[in-house]
Amino acid sequence: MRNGQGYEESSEDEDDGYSSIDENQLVTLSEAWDMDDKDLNTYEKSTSKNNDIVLNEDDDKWESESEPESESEEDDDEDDDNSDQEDDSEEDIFQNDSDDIEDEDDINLASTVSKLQSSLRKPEKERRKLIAETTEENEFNLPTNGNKLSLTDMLAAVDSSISKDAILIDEDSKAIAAPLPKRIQQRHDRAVAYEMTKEEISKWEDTVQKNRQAEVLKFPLNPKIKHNDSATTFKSDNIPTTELETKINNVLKESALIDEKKEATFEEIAIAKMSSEEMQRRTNELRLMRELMFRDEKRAKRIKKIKSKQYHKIKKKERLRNQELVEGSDNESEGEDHDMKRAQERMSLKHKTQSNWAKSMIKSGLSKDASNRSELEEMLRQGERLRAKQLGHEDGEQSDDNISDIENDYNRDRDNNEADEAIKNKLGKGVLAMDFMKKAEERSKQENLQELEELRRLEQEGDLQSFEDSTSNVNITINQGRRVYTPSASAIREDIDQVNQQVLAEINDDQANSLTSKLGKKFNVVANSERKDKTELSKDIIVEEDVNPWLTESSEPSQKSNKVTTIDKESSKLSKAAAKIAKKVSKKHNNNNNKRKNDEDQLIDIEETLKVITTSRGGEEDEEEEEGEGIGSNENKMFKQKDLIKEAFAGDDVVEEFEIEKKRTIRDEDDKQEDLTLPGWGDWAGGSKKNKKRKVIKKIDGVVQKDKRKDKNLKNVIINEKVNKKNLKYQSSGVPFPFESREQYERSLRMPVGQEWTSRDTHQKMTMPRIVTKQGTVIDPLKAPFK
Amino acid sequence: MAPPAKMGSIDRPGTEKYQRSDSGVAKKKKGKYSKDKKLNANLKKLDNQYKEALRSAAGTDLLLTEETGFLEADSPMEKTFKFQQQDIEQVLDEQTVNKKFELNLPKLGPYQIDYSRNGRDLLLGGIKGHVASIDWRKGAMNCELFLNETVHAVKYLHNNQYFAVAQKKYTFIYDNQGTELHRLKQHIDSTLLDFLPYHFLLVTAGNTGFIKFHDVSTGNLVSELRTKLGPTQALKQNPWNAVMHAGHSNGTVSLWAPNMSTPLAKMLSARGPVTDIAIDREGKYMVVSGADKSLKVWDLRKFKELDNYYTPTPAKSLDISDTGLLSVSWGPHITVWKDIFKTKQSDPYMNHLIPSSKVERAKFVPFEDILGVGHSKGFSSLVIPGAGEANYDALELNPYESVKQRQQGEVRALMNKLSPDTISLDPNVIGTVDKRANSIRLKPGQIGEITEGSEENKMEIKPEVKGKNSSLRKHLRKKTQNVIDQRKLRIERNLKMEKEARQKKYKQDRGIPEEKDLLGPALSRFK
Repeated sequence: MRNGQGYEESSEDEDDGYSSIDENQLVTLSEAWDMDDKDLNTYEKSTSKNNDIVLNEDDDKWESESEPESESEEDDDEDDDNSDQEDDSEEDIFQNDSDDIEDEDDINLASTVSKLQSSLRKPEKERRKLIAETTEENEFNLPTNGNKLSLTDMLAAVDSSISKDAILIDEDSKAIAAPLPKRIQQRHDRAVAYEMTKEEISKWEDTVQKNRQAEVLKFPLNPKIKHNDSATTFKSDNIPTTELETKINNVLKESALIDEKKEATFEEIAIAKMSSEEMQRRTNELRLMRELMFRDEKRAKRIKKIKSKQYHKIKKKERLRNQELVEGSDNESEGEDHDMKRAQERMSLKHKTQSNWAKSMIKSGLSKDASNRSELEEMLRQGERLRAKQLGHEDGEQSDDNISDIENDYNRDRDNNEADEAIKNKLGKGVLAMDFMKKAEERSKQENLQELEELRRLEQEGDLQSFEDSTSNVNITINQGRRVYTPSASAIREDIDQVNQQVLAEINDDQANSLTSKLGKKFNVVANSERKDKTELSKDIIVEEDVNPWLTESSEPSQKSNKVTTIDKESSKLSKAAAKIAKKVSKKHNNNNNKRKNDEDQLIDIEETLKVITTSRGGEEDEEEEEGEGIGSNENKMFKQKDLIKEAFAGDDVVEEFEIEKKRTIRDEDDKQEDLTLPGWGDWAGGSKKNKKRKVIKKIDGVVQKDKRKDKNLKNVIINEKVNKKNLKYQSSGVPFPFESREQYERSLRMPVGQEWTSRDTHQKMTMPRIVTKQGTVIDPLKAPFK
Repeated sequence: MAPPAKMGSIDRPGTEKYQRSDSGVAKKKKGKYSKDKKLNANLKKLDNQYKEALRSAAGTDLLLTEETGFLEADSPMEKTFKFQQQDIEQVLDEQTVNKKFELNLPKLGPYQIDYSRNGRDLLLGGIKGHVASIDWRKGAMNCELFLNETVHAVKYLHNNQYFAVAQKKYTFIYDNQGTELHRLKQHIDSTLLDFLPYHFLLVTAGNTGFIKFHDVSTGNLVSELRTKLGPTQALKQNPWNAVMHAGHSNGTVSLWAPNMSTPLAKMLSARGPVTDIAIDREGKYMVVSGADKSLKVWDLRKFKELDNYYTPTPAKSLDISDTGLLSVSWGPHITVWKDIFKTKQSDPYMNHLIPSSKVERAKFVPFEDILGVGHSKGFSSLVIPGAGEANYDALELNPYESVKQRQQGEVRALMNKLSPDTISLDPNVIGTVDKRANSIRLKPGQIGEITEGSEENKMEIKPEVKGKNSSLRKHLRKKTQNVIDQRKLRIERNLKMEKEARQKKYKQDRGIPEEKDLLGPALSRFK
């Protein structure tokens, strides 16, 4: 295209390039539009280079000034795409313009005008050139555009040494041969086309060959193997399998709802932040939690299972009691009530000795009056209770709080008490002021202190010794000062034990929950308990006696069930042996039972009637032996017998008869000759003539020739050689087509197909149809393997 | 010891057992069967299939878990035939002992016996008219008949639901309940019965000297063959090729197929009358006992006498078990012989005596180590270790079959029923190419002529075309020509049709092809 441009430019004034249309120059409309832009640029360049071409510019101007014409021209251009590109380039602009005009809705006049002007102005500058037409106007004179035609110009088209574009004389080129006759050309085309298609088709050869040779073709060929998803097969969830899944996945991705990194990074960071020890601890903690939860669940389940009414009754009572205890301190429902009380207390401020009434009472010494005194005491008690409530701990759970707090409280209490004491002293000598009361108070204080100490120690060392210290059966009561041996003592002791254990367990639980420092130590405890659990799981659960007295009471059936404990690998040798013995014993027992039963049954056994009636005879054996000998060994005797028999059947002479019969059949079935010459024919003088020339003998084929008989060498056997015509139905008269010989054909019949004679596998293989299609599936056309 | 087979190789120990005869099979030359490429590939494929089938069949040997065991003597001094039944009984398991039983029936004997094909039921036939069908393992009686007529032979048909009884004059068929279903009036004076299970043919022979084949599935008498040898003494089938072996009074054994009027073969076995015949399961050996106190073992493949034994008294009954044990009974004695087809034996395998009785018929129970003996005083069963086939094919015969299985098996057997025409001395001949010369060989058309030509002529339906001088024509002639009424039109139409039919037939006879209908079948009716 580019090459031809110059030429076009020179000749465009004459015509719009219609004169010679090269097929190669034909372009589609869209391409043409594209080219316009490029051409515009080149044009601009070219115009800047050679300013001589004026007529062209004139043309442009003229065209730009006349819109309708340009439109018409544009139409022309649209019709024939091979038209001059320069024209096109300018028309491009107008086209936009005209388009705009055509749809007047979106006219941006200013912009278009400016555009137009900008596009037109440029050439305008260069246009101002005078063309001096020196030649006279003549019909033979052509406008030269200011150029003069030189000889070299003319030769340029001819001589390749001058111009590259010369085409008229080319040294290399030869005379173009005359085109081939059409049919020969077509023949060549066909041959080539055939070669091409052959090549194309030969790519299929292997596939076709393979399919032809295949014993069984299963359609669809190469089905997708579908694995059944089950619990045993795992699959990553990330990859969508079904169409719907992929669709949803795509939508989610587009809407950026899935952040693939999000989860992963979170996990990664969490793990990455931790040290290995920390990780270990965390996992341990988690494991412990899980274990505890599991145990709790188990326990709950076990307890839930208990059906004893009595037990439930007792449990219920206990629960109620606990509830009552709890209710005393924190009852959300009574919050309002509490507020009311508080308000009342504020109003009254009865609970302190600072109130006016109390002060006056003390001052006036009225406190020694019994009624006043009781009121005061009541007030103080109330105050104390309220204070406790204000501090936030409930009555029952005080001990759960930190010991230091308790101590503080205690100390504070002591301070208070001192004050109280002072008050009390002031109040006068009541019962509280009495010696024994003081002593008792002192003792209780001491005990409290001791307990506090213990608790402190406990907190520090985690020493559970004190709880594990089992109280003896001896019940020591402080006041009585002597030991009392009672059966109830042991019961009490059990109770205490139970409580202790519960406390221990609770502590353990607490420790497990907290999981602060003493992981290793507690692990032992937990592990032990775990093992215990396992054993409990593996065998029938043996209920702990001390946990539930009612369970042990009702454990008789469960103990029975223990007899049928499953003995697994983990169970000890002893238990295994025990189980074996038990089994044997039970078996024996059963056997005995069965035998007894059988014995009973046998009285009315019908089978007995069918039983063998054995016949025993002493003399039988000897006789038998004689017989046995008689068969083989006693030759002399046998010989005699044989002779005797021969004699006995001598009259029949069966053998000879048989021989005669055989001979007869042989003769009958043999080929025969028949003399067909007419007697007396050709004889003129009696039968004296030696050899007749014309002897007509007809040979009649028999069943089988004498020497070819199957029973030729067989003694005492006649085999019928006649063809069984009924059997012929089941024989083929010739070798069937694909086979060449009888042997080949019979080889193919060698193996029976029926499942009676072959294995199932073979039978199925041999009876499988050549083409198997799966119903309900789309069978795609054959795919070429080369793609 | 054979070297262990390679993994995945074609060879597997025990494939020889399943090999088919290579006699008629072409050997390939230099790895090629034929010049034809396609045929060659096809044959190669067939060959591989065959090998694979052999291999696979040998692989199924694994499933045959049971083994047959025989009585074995500890030392050369000990003889197995000295073991008495009561000696064996002490060692046996209870189940087997229960299978051994005795029926004391002294009045109506001697007894003929027969077992159903799967060995589950026992049929007893006392000569004085006592017939009983018993599920002998359960001890349950199926039916019992007192016929008040001589009973010569009893035989179960394809299963225990039907049995045939050869009575004084006719042969009858009864069902399991003892109901008389058929009186086979063609089978007169028969004394011997047999049944070909795959062809559903009841075979009878007797004093008339005829061997008759009766199809029990269709009720047709297939063929009557005249032996021309007087009363038949013994009749047994060859299980391999369904050929009937008949023993005659002149000492010959003749082999019969229902499709041949002459015997397939004749063998002279004894000098006196043949007393009984036994043929082994594979159809390889035949044992014939004669009244001349001989007992001969024949090889049926070669038609050669293998061995000749002597019996002190003529043997009355012979039978061969599935494992190849031969029972010979004469008088009160029963001897069982082992390996009699391999070498000549001097001592029997086992020995038994039924005191003060005469054995009438002894038969091995299929799939059991038991020999049933019918004698003049009833019935007794003996334990013969190793007599029964240990591994049964439940698809073929199932000793433990249920009712449903039996019914389905019956239907299957009927569908697979073989035509009596297929019976021949060598059953492998079916499907093969006729070996005789082309000149003798029948053309395909000729086979049709032989088999059904005559019948076809009978059955051909001829168009009813009346003669030219029909009543219609007569009527037309009589009536005046110019009167056209309804009847005349009808007559004319009929005449026209007749003419057309006649022409058609004429053309057919001449072999002239029919004119093509130009209008086609759809429009031709408007002609």
